[in-house]
Amino acid sequence: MSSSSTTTTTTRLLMLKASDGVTFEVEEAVATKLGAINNMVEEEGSEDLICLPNVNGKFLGMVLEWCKKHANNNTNSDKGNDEVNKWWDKEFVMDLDQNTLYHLLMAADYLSGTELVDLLTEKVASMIRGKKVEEIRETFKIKSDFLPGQEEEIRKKNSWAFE
Amino acid sequence: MARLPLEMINEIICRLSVKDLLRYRSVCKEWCSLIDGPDFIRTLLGYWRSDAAVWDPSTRKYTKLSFNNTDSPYPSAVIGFGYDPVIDDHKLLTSTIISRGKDMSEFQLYRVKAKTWERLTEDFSDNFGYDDFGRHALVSTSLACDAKAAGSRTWLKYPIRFRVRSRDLQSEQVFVAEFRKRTCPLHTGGRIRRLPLLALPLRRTRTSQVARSDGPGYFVYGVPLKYYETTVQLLLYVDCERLILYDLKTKTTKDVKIPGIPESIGALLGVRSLVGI
Repeated sequence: MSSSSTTTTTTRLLMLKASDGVTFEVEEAVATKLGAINNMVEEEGSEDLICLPNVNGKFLGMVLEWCKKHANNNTNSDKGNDEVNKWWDKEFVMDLDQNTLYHLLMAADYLSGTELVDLLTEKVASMIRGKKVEEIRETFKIKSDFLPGQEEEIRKKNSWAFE
Repeated sequence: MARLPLEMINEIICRLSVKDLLRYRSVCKEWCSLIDGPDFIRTLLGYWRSDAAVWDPSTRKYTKLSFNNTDSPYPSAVIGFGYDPVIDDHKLLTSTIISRGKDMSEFQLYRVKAKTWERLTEDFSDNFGYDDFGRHALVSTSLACDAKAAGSRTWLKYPIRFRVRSRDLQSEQVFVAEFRKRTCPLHTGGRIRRLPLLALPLRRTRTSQVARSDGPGYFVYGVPLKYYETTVQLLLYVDCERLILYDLKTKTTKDVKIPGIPESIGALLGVRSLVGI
């Protein structure tokens, strides 16, 4: 049975290979939601197999899941789509733990998924709003590197912000 | 959460309130200088989108501004802010994408003292320089477009078209330059596409592509700063590091050396003053 000439609607499939060797077969329209992939596809003579040595399969899978949802929702040009996307985005980030969030953010940034980076940075921002300085250090694993007295001076300058 | 790169921290904290930001200055030295830095204030103006605020650093007070309602699903961004000496008021310029596909935006102008909003007419974008990034900053009375963030990779990750229309105020020389930035992000293996640049004097007498060869004029990314009509040359700030003069007739480039200029410079593309609008 010849399969090559029968289909009329041919969507190009791309093979994305993560750092741990896990591969994903994705429609071009889905994968090109990521700026980095889009650039590679636009280059003449690009191959269907794209290696992404900086993203691990687990997180690449999650990023692609997001792309797929958004690509699907955008094909039906209803007005309610933005609502659907927003609702779905909310679900997507709702239960992410810090570790997953971190890796997803790095993956989305690496892949130039601008909208996804937006979504994830907003999620992180929502987690650190109104926190104490010590809690911020804890969250981002930062050690204070101020000299003795320096920190107090900074705090004093804007003491109203600590009220 | 493991340590995030500073660019990412930047993206995150510019969504916070002024009060949070002032408090988080005492997290560590890096955060402090990030929040105090001039680039950050610019980002901040761009990120206060559904709610913009004008902050007076001397009184530490800020006034919140609500954006005019638009039908757009996209948030508004502040793309310019500055003082207009003619009417003795500050002006705030916002842009809201109406359609990403059709590349359409709506522009609105707010006068701070008068507390009025004005929707700018459709030909605004044709007569006024703007870019698609919302990276404008209004310096004094002229609108300037932030051409780069030194050493930052954030520039490179936006595979979007960049369009500039500009007017040289002094001589009333006009150039319209348009180019597509088509680089592969450097961290995906360093494959870089060449940049076709189109420079059109307004009378549409000439269309040229700049620096498409791999010669010494090769560059990845360039910001047109000035068009010299008499010599038909274009001054470009390229690859966020050097200035070149491009001869549109001979299609050759020449490095421009300015004695005493600091090693790390960031060119600002000045376009028309906000006084006119």
